[in-house]
Amino acid sequence: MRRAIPGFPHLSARPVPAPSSVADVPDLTLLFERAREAVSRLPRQVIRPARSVRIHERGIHGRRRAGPGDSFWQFRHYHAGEPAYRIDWRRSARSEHLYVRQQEWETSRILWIACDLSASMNYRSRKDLETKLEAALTLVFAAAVLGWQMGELIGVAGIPGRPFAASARRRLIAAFARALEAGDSDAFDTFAATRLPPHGRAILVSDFLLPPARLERLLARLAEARIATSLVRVEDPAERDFPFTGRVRIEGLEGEAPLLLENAGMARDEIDARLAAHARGLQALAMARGARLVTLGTDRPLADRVLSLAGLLAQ
Amino acid sequence: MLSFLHPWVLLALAGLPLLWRLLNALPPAPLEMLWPPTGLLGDLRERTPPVHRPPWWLVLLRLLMVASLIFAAAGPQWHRADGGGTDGEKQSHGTIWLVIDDGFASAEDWTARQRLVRRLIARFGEEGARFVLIGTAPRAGEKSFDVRTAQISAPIDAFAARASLESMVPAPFAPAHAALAGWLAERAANNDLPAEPDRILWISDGQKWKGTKRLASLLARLAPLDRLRLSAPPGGGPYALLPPERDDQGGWRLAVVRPPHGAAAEILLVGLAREGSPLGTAIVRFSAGETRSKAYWKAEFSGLTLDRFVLRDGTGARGAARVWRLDRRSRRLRIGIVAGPQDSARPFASPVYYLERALRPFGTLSTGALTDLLARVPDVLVIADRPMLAGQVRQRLSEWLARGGLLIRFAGPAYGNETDRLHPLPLARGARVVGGRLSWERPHHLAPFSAQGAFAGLATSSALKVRGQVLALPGGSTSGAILARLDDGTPLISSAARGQGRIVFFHTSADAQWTNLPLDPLFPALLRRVLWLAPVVSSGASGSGTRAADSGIAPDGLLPPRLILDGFGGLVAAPPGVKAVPLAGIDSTPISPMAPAGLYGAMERPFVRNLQGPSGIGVIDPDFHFTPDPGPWTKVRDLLEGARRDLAGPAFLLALLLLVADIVATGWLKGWMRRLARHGLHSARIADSGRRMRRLGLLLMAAALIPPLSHPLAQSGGDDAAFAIAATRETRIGYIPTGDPVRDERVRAGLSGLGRLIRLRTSVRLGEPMAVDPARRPLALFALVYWMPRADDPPLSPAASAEISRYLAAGGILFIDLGADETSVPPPSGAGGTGTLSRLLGTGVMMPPLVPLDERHILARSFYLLDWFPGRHDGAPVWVTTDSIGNEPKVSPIVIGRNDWVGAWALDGNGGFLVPELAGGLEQREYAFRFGVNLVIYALAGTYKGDRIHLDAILERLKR
Repeated sequence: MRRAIPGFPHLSARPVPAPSSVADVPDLTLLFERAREAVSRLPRQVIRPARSVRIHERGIHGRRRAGPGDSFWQFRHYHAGEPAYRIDWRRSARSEHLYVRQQEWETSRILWIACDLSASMNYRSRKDLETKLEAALTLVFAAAVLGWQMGELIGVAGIPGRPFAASARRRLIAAFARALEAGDSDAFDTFAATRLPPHGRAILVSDFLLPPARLERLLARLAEARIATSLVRVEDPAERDFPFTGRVRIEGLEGEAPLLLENAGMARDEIDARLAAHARGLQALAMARGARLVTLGTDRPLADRVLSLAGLLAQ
Repeated sequence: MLSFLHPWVLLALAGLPLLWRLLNALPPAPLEMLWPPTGLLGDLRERTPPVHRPPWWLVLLRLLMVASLIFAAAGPQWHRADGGGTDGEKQSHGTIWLVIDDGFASAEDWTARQRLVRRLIARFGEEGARFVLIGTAPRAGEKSFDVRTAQISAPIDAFAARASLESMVPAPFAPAHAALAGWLAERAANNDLPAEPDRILWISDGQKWKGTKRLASLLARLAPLDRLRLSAPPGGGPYALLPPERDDQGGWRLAVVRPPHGAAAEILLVGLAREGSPLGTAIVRFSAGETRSKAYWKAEFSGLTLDRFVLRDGTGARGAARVWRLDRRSRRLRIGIVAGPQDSARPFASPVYYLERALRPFGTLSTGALTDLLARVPDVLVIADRPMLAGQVRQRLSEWLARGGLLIRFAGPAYGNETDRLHPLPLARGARVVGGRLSWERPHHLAPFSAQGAFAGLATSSALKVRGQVLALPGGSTSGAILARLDDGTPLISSAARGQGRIVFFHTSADAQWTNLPLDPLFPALLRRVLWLAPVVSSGASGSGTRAADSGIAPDGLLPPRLILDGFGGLVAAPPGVKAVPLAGIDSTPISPMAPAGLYGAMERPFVRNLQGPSGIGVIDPDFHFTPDPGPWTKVRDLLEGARRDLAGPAFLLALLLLVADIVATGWLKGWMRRLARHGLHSARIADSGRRMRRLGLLLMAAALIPPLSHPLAQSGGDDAAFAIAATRETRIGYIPTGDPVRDERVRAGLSGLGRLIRLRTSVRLGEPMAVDPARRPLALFALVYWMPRADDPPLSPAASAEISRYLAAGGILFIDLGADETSVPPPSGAGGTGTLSRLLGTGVMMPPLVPLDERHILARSFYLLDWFPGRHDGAPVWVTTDSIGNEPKVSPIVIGRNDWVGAWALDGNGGFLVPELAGGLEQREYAFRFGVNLVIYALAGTYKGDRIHLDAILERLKR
């Protein structure tokens, strides 16, 4: 079915269907397409300022020419009069000439994206909602697309190797597919252990139902590397307001001990207070490390969520 | 004895122990739910204790509830052990007599009566019974009860009985129980009954008539008798209108009676013109138990002639006793007596003095010069002893006569000899006076009046002497023209038609000079009969020539029956048996089957005989009252259901009550009451023990109940003056609140939006619109009243309806916007209103004939020139009254449309339109507003724009 885009009758768009079944492994290509479409519908000005503002900064935007930067670009012959410390002795020793190591002139940075793939993410309280995992992956992909549009490289937390350029879209999706298949549930820990080049930004998407110590360690690591971090908390409506009444046994998804409530309705106030305390704790943690935290409910429209994300990236 | 229709349902009772276990199996298994943040609640400790078992009595309550449901579903039936009368005699229903009271008192709930008889026929027809239907009231035109007449049928089966029941209608008489009893006794003695009854069911009207007791005992002797009656009709009737009396002011005093034990009721007395338009209403109030109430009726609309009074309640019940018709005898004529200055100088010597005294009871008198009187277009002109008329005055008098006037002339000494042709007969020259030229030896007496003439039934007296007269020329006379003669055969009173009018000539004087007739009691009686001859003066230039000037009296002096009253108060063609009534006996012949109430004489101007009349003549005399029959009565339900009593209903009721008890008990157990009390405490900021706060909670609840009770009391104080000041301080549009807050707010917003626009575009400064309830407030404070009824609204109350009709008569404009939603009132389909709108408006409002609005109407020209009248919707016509168009337009008191104009005018709080988009865009919005502007200007300026008074000035200006 093709339908006209309002206001642009000569254009048309194919709506991307929402994931229908309770598939354990989400269709990543589909999610990526949805993310890309959502980003394509964003107002231009949300994306543009980032590029213009940062063009003069020293970043990771490779200029494909020699210049100040962290990555190797090429060796060239030593010219007389240059400071001697520039000579790369190791290379020069292999031949008769003296060589100087040149780094790429980088104005680009790496945008790190991290998605929580743990079991608790595979949850939705109503059939008409996405699971948190789907929502998180969509957001991560949207962040990637946005990053590419801003001319940045995308680094995926927990996946070693070169950052992904815009052309490496398929590779990015494949990497996530592999991570999902492997049941990689401790991406944050891996991320914390990775060697991080300084500067750049990171987007962490998760429900943040993890021990605060783990998160704290990661945030500390990121702050150390002077990486501007944003936390995107994906939240199912049932996690915001305790939904159950009556006699209920509730169980977590990561092997927590089940809890029997004799009268869940009466305990609701107490439970809601705990949820609020948890949210406050997260906020405090993020603030302490200079990170910013937004909470996006899966019941909010996708365009809305992507807009919030773009707002985070634009700053 | 108890039995069940579906005994197998009772097997379900075996499941009760299971239910007992189920109810006790507590707590229920928990719901197993996944919830990711469970880890956050690891150490949560619930403060609420686990649910205990429900108390045993609650379980018992629930078990009882289920048990009574099962019991009810099994269809329990109770059979009376002893009274198996009906069931036992299943085979013995041979012939059943259905004696039905079908007098005027039965008419009001006739359909309910027929329904009851239908059910009886169905009930006994199933068992093979045959029926004889007997109506107790006499039929018009039938001398006596007979098998051949409609009143008593031959034995017929259920199907035929139902058919003949459908054709049965009530008769405009009291039930003739005495006559029926006599007839039946005679037939029974001769063993000649229509069919031997095995059982008699008497469907009574509940009232005691002459011979009721006798008939009851006779019927009981013939066969087992069951007497049945209906409960009182919803309107509280039957009602009967007593003979009304007119007072000097042109109003009517009326009394209405009804049976005792009625509830408080309010019914409407409506005076109707011949075509059915209401001329005015009066409310007749009965307090509970009151049997007689009085009312005073005065016409609110002049111009039309009052034709009849009708009693109406909200239920649409009709009846012969609710109607009173008027004829020419009740008409109040405008009588002009020609008088000069000399008449007041010597009163006793002037004919005017005697004529005034004789005519005063019959009409509105005015005296003066002939030209002045003619200008007022009277019904009757009396000219006594004046010289002949000449010239222009005579010409005008002839024109007035041709249009239907009645000219009464008297001779006298001053009567000239000229012939002005305004006499019935050619006259001889000179007067004939005792001792005069045409010799008279002695005064003459009056010859007895002809039994066929206009004066039939009046008696002459020997004391009457006539000493002088003007003679008619012999030969030219026709006997029909002479209404009264002297004993020598010469004419005393003659009469002839002129055009549509009539001349009556007294050949003698109206004072005591020639005769002592003006001093005699016969004189007013004669004049009254003469006035009966008065035709109707048409106000137009010349009427249609078809209306005959005849007096409506047949040559033989008999008045043939034309239409007779039926039991519902309507008129039907007279059946062949009805006899003509002599004119002399029109008031003295008792109402009977041979001479029933109805219209007699000429169709155009009939004489009316009413059901109501003086004692001994009317069926309803001034002392009439309903006497309830003490019975004994058989219960209809017993008869219809036999001795079976269905117990399912009570069992269901019991289950329902138990359910309510269960809800209350559960609520109590769950602590709703406690929480309620706590809440009350919280808001009152008082901390104390539980008992005290519970008491406080109750107090708060009681306090919350008091304001709605005291509110209307506080408001019903005399704030009329405040309302009137508020309504008139600024020019405002009123609107009738409909009781639907959404609709009312919309109307208010719409009128307010229109007011803002009018302020911008015209010099009219409208205030905010006001709600005005016609039942409580005078509408006359507003030039324009907006009303947006819907078909499912209740009709207006009689008081509101009367106020609206007053408002319309006083020159107000009622704008009825029917909207176009699904439940909107259907629009008027053409001339006259439709049923739904009439029902909503109530019985008192006259719906004038309507025509669609077009661009020639003043409403389309009063400010803007419009040819399109859209509102939120478009396309439906706007209706105005027919008399608001044409050369001399009147202001249309009612404007009806269904385009939902307020929807187009209404602004929301932010300055935008409540309905943001109309189908026709901005143009439609503009035109909707323009229509509103025109409507307001029309309401304020009337037909000013249609006035041609400035035409000359305008043309003059255009020429320049």
